[in-house]
Amino acid sequence: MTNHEQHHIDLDRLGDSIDGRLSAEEQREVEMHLAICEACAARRDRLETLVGAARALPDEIEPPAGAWDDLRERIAPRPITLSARHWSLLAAAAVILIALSSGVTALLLRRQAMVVRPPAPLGVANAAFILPPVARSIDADYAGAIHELSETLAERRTQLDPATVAKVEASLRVIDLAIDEARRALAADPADPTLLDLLAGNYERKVELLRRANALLPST
Amino acid sequence: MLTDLAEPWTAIAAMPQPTDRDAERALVARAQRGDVAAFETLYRSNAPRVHALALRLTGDPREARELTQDVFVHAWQRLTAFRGDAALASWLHRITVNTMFMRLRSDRRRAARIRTPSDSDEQDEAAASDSQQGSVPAIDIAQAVDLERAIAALPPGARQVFVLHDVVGYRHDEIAELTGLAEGTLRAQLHRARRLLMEALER
Repeated sequence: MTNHEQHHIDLDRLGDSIDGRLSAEEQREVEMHLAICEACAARRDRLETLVGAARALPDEIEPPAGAWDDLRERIAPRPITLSARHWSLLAAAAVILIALSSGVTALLLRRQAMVVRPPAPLGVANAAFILPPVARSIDADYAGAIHELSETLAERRTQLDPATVAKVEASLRVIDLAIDEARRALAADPADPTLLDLLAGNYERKVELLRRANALLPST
Repeated sequence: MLTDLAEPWTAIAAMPQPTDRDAERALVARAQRGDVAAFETLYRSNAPRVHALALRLTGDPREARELTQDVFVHAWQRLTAFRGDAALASWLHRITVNTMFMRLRSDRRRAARIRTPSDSDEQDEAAASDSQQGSVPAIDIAQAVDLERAIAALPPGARQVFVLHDVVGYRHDEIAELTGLAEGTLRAQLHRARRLLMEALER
């Protein structure tokens, strides 16, 4: 009996082999053993069959009947009940609404151009805390749109009225504070769906503010 | 970053062709303005893929229905952030996985308040022990239903890693990013899932 026949290869190593996670030398040893050990070769074949079958499973399974009707009710506006711990965040959201209504709406009515610098990161936002993956995912979802809209405004800032820009920037600072508060709260309570909605909602407001500001730029 | 994840093969398969992509963009634009009818069309074309993933990740039809609903509620709320760089299917796919693991972490915290830490280990061991009986012929891959049932019967951690790696097609480092698991842990869960499935399907 050769060395290769003495010990069967365990299933974990066979799995690493088919996943391509072994070094070239390790892979060569596995292949040499499989060439002379029918039992291990058969197990490897069954493992490959399993993985192939998993990949071939249907991509689509219809949701149960009535699922859309239930969803339709959930996406309709409805009153929500909040616990006391959410009130401070709601207060920040209220400040945002005030800033938006008194600042941006007035600007829209006056049809004046405005300038917005790319929002500088707030000092408090850079403090170290660990965000859950889902919150980072929300950050990532909005980062591109915010960057793009901010860049456009920054490039054309000279065409706009500094006084109105100041109001928009003030609103952006308030929104950034609210975003930062929501992110910090999520770092402490990563799975709170209301906090996730608040974070996403604050990003929505920021994107909407930037979009409305962009709409005020004169056509090129 | 999650945005750097490679497209898993199931999401690639779901990507619409160029003309479909234009139609999808138009529907997304309408839905972003609050058009529920447009969102319903997007839901009906994407829900089967989301539900298939939800069903396999949860292993439970009721939980899968709830997860699918949560995914589309989040999608509705965050649709303005979707810029159309990738297919909507890929974006929904990521929301599904993120929502699943967010719920999982929440459930674990709730469970930790009423159970000792060893309880879940014992349950996992019992599930593993249950499936370690008999070992007869080769896997009959024609029986996809059997495979689905066997996947659903896996211990949760092993099932989720198996689905993400072997069914969906994520790489180890991507799953580590999504789940927060160390690569060594998820590798062990993957091996365990495969071992349990082979044993279950060979009975």
